[in-house]
Amino acid sequence: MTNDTVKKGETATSLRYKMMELAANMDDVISLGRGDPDLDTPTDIWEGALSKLQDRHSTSPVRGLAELRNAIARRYQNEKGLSFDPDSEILITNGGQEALFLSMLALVNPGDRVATPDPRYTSYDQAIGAAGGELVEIPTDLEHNFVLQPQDVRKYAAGANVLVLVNPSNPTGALVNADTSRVLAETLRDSDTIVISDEIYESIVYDDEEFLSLAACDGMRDRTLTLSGFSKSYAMTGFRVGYLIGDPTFIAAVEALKECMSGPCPLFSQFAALSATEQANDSRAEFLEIYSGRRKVMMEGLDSFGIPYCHPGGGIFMWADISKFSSDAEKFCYQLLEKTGVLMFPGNSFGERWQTWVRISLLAPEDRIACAFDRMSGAASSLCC
Amino acid sequence: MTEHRETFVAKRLAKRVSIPPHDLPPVEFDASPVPEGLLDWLREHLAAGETHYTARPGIPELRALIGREIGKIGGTSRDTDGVIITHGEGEALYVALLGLGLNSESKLAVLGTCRHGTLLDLLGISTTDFNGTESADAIYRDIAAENTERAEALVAAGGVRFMIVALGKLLFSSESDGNKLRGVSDAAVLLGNLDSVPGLDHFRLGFVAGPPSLVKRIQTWKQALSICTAGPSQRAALFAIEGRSTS
Repeated sequence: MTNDTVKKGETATSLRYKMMELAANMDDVISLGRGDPDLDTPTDIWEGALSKLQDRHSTSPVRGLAELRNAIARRYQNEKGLSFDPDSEILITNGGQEALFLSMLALVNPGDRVATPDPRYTSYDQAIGAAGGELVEIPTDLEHNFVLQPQDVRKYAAGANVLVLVNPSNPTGALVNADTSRVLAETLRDSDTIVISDEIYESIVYDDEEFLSLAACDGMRDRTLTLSGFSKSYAMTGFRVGYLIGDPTFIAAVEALKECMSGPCPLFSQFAALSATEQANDSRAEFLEIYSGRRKVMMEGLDSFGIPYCHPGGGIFMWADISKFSSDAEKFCYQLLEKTGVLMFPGNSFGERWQTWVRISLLAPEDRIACAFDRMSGAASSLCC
Repeated sequence: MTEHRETFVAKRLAKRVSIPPHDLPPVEFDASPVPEGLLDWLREHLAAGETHYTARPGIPELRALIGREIGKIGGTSRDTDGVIITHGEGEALYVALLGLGLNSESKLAVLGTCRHGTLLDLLGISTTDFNGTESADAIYRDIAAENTERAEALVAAGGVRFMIVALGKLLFSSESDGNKLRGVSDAAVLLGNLDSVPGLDHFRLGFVAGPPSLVKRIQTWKQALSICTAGPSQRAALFAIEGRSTS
C-alpha cells in the first residue's frame, strides 16, 4: 500500500462526501456536485430484470452471465467494429469502480508508476495506492481544453506501467475525439504502458463529435483494457454493473481476484444490464438529448458570469475557473452552498493544484440549473472570498 | 480452450496474480427459488425511484437489522454506524484488512479454519496458525474455532491490535442461538454473509460490523472499492429477512 497516494485520494474524496452530507441536511439544495444521474432507470430495464429473475433457477458464473457478455460483445462489434471473445475477453464487475480497483491489483506491483491526467477522478487514487502504485500526474490545461497532449504523455508517462484515461473526462468534461485518440495511440503503441481506457461516459458525447474507443485505434487492441458500464449511460448507478474488456490472461487474473473477493455481480443487476441492451427504444439517445439541453443552459449561465470553463465535449460534468470570485475553491463552494443552496465540488477534490476551479454536474433539470445561476447572481457579491 | 500466449498484457501482470493462465470453468449452481412476493416488493421500490446509489455504507434499515441480529446471538448490538453492507464476505474481509491498515507487510494469525486463504495469498498477506503466544498484527478467528480465550485475552491486553471474526453464514441462520457470539470482544470486527437467508443466493450480500470508529475507516475502502452495494440486492435482503422473521 502506498500511503501518500492513498492519503491524497482519501482526503480529496472525503471532501466531496463531506459537502454532500452537509447538503443532505439542507432544504431546497440544487445539487450540481454528485455524479449520480438524477434520471431514474427506465422502467423497461427493471421490469425486464424482474421477468428474467422469475424464470432463473441457477446463479451466475463469476465472470458474469454468458447472455450479458454475449450482448456486450455484439454491441462492440456492431457499434465499434471491435471483435471480442465474450468467453475469454469480457468480465462483469460490481460497477466501474470495482473494475478499476481489480485492474490495479492485477497490473500494479509495489513501486510501479500509474499515470493519469491531472485533474483526475481521485477516487481511483486509493485503488492505485492499495496495489502499491505511485501516482504520476500528467498536466492538462485550459489552453488545450484539458485534452491530454501526446508530448505530455511522452514526457510524464515514460516508464509508467499503466495509464488510466477517463474519456470523456471526469471531472473536466474534456473529450479526446477520434482524431486525437489516433494521435495519442501513435505515442502509446511505441511505449511499454498498458492503457486502461475508462469509457463509462462514452454514450454521452456532444455536438456529433466522433468517439473512438482507444482499443479501436491501430496497434492498441492488445495493449488497451477497456472499462465501461451501465451506470451513467442508462442511469443505473444503484444496480452496480460495470465490465472489463481485454486480454484473456488479464481477464483470468481479475476473475481470480473477484472470485475470492466479491464473487459474481448480483444476478438481478446483471439481468437489468441485459435488459438495457435489449431495449426497443435505446434510452442512451434520449439521455444524451437531455444532457445536451442542460449543458447549453450551464454554458449560458457560466458565460453570463464571464467564468472560463473547459468546453465539455462529453460526459456529465463541467469544469470551471471561479478565480474571479475566489482563490480558494473550497471556501467558495462552502459559501455557495450556505448562501444559495447550490452544491458544486471544489477543484482541489480532483487534484491539489486546482484551487480556483470547480466541478459542476449536469445532473439537475434545466430549470433548476437556471435557478442555480439566478441564486448565484443574487448572492454574487457575498461569494467573493 | 482459449489459446494463451505471452501477450503484451500477460507479460505485465502483477506478481500477486502470477497464476498460470487458465480458463476457469463457468461456475453455476442451482439457486433457491425467489421467495413469493419478492418481485412485487422490488417492483414497488424500483418504481418509487430506488435505482440510484444507496447510502454508501448501505440501506440504513438493513444495517440496523444486522446490527440488532448480532446482539440477538450474543454479540454487541450495533447501530447503523457500526455496520456496512458489502458484496459478500470476501469483500467484507478485504475492506476490513485495508481499513485496519493491514497489508502485505502485516502478519495475520489464524485461529480455526480460514475460508479466505486464496484472497490472503493473492494479496500477499502472510498468515500463521495461532499458537497462543506469538505477536501478530491481527488475529483472524473463524467463529467455529475452539479455545479462543487466549486470543481474546491477547487482544484485550493490547498484545495484538485487531481481532477479525468471520461468521460465514451464521447470521439469520436457524442454527444460531443467543450464545453464538458470547466471549467475542466488543472491539472485534465481525464479517459474514447473508447466504443462510432463503432466496438470497442471487443477490450476493455480506457485511462488516464493529466499533463505529473502526467501521468508519473500513467504510472509506468499501467506497473506494465499489462505492456501495447494489440497491436491489439490499432491498431484497430486507424482504427476505423480515419475511423470515414473520413466517
